[in-house]
Amino acid sequence: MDCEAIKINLPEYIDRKLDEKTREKVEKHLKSCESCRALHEEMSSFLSFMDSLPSPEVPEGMKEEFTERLADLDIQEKKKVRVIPMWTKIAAMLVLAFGTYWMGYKTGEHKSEIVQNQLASEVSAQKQQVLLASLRDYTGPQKIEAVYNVSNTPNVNNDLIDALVYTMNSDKNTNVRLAAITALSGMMEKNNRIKQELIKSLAVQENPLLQISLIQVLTEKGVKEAKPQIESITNNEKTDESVKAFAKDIMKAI
Amino acid sequence: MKRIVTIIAAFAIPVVMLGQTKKFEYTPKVKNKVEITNLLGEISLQNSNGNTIVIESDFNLEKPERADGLKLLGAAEDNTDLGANVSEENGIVSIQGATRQVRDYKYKILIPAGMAVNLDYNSPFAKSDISVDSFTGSLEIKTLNASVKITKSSGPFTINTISGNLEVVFDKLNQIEPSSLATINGYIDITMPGSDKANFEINTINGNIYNNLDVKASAKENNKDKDRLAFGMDVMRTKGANSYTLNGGGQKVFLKTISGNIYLRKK
Amino acid sequence: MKNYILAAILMVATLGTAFSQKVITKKVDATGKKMEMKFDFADSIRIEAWNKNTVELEVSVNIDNNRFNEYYKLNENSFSGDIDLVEKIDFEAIKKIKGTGNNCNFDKMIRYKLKVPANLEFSLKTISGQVEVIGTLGKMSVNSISGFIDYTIPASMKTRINLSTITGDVYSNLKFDNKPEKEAQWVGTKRNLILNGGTQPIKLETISGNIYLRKSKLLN
Repeated sequence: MDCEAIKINLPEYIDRKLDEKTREKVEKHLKSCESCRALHEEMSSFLSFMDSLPSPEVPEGMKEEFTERLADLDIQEKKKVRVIPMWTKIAAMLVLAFGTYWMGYKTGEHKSEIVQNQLASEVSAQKQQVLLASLRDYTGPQKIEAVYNVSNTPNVNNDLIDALVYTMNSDKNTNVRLAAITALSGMMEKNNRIKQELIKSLAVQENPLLQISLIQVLTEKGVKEAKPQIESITNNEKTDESVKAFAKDIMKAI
Repeated sequence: MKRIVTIIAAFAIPVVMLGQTKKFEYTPKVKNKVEITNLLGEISLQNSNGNTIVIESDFNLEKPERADGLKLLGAAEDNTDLGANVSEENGIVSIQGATRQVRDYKYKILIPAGMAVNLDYNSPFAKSDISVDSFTGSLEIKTLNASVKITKSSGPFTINTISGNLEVVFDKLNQIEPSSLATINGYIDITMPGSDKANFEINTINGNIYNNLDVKASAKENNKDKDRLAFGMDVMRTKGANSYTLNGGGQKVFLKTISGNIYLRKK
Repeated sequence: MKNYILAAILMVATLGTAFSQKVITKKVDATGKKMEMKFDFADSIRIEAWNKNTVELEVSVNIDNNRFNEYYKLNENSFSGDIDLVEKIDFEAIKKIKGTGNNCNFDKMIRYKLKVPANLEFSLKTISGQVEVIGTLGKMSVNSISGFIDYTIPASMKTRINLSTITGDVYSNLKFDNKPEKEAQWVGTKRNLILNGGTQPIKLETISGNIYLRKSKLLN
């Protein structure tokens, strides 16, 4: 079995829904293929954290609407679309896990291996639109839980960091962005890229709470490279007074 | 004669012109989320008893004579007669203020239990504070200067404000999803049953933290940044955020202030 | 005795009619022309559509009990071939005569009534004028800082109305094509309304006035 086929079967393998023969093939491949093993690890931890979340109460109309749309699909395609039993997982994966990340996915900005392979193999592009279109926004607390869990995953790979950065810079909910900042700052030590992203975020944030939090986090960790950005915020006349006052005080610490 | 008149005058009961309260009811097709925007009057939120959203208000449209026969057309069409527009799309019910005039009136909004609410009160023109009572469901609130007072509710909440104060009296902390409260200039005052379980992540820069809830520095806190000299000792306080547990730990509650104090009270 | 009383009565009577309202009328051929109006100190402006090709204007002026009517001028500039009407009041001269004492404030009443070709393209600027536009179909832009704008729209009109008011309200009995954008409108009302799938641009702007949009009972 080749890697492409493995990717297609992984979700069901993890769910223990594969038939004996296929399961054996997958296991055999996993034993010898490091990249597929890594993928399997990511996907399992991901899906298990997904399971730990409450399945969002499926609003009445939503499931009906979704099944109706699916009814329009080819029977051929339907066989591949193991979406109905797992649809909450995929839905959650797309929206909740990555917060607003799925938007980036949709516009092609971020390539998430897991999500992309899952979808590409199971559902054709057209049906992806159906899936994405029928998803609803998740709530602030749910997204905070997602951010917290992502940051507590043992091996946070680049895709997850992408997701956290995207959330920090674009989520509609300030508290969620705050959680992303906290999560990223916890990982900053081992990762220079995260440090850069936090500094870049200073230019993006407009909410005083977030500006102060970023400045706080960067100065606490002694990030000298952040100084010019912090200075430009202090000099910008549009910046809120409380931010300016805070920045002035804390700059002395760097 | 004169004396009688003055006595009567003194006892004359002032006629209080109570604004007439009107009601509007809406049954959502999908019981998922409610988004409230542009409603700058005095808002209080509660749960309703069934599957219907109820808005009660003393809104009284001051309509000039010239507008006879015409309807108010604001940011959205007033289809409730309460200066607000209620519409539903894609599983989200939107309640929008239709006119600036709503600012001077009270709005009591009753939401079916379990629906999530997102309240955007982030305007310099918002009139007064927000109060929430006996509310079951997820709540997201954003304000600029307005304070938020929540009683007898369990969350989860995400609330952020620039200079408002945040007061929450939990009847029991929701263990399924975390809560996050953040303010720059205001204070945060939390009351929780002493027997509840929680994980507090507290971050304040210039504020003081007061507590009569039996929180303990968390294990994570105890393992943080420890140097050789601290071997065998418990952490009392570290720089940056501090983690505390209540009764061994439970769902997370993130509290952040910049200059305001934080109060943790036992119920 | 009687004579004196009679004389006194007569004097009072004549005093009352000594100064009268000033009325100016204008008639301009508007074929192929646009019109620009700047009536800064107008109290009211009423523009009504008719089926002729001319613009007929009537303005009645009363400044301080008709004492300073001569200081009002309605200038018509037709350089570009378009109709350009600008109201001018010589306040400096009036102040010189009245002085700066207690009686330096005065009442005024300036009212405009216009009949215009239905398809005329025009723009109107006023400070506190209350504007009524009835039955016009042409492209227009109306700006009144504190006066209201009341537009009666013919049933055949296909338009895109861009309106904004900061502290006023908008009232209407028409059904527009589009749904409002979800953006928060903290200050006043700013809308882009499409009527009958139209594109004819109409701009109605006021700061503190109300805007009224009415269905016309007439077809045109």
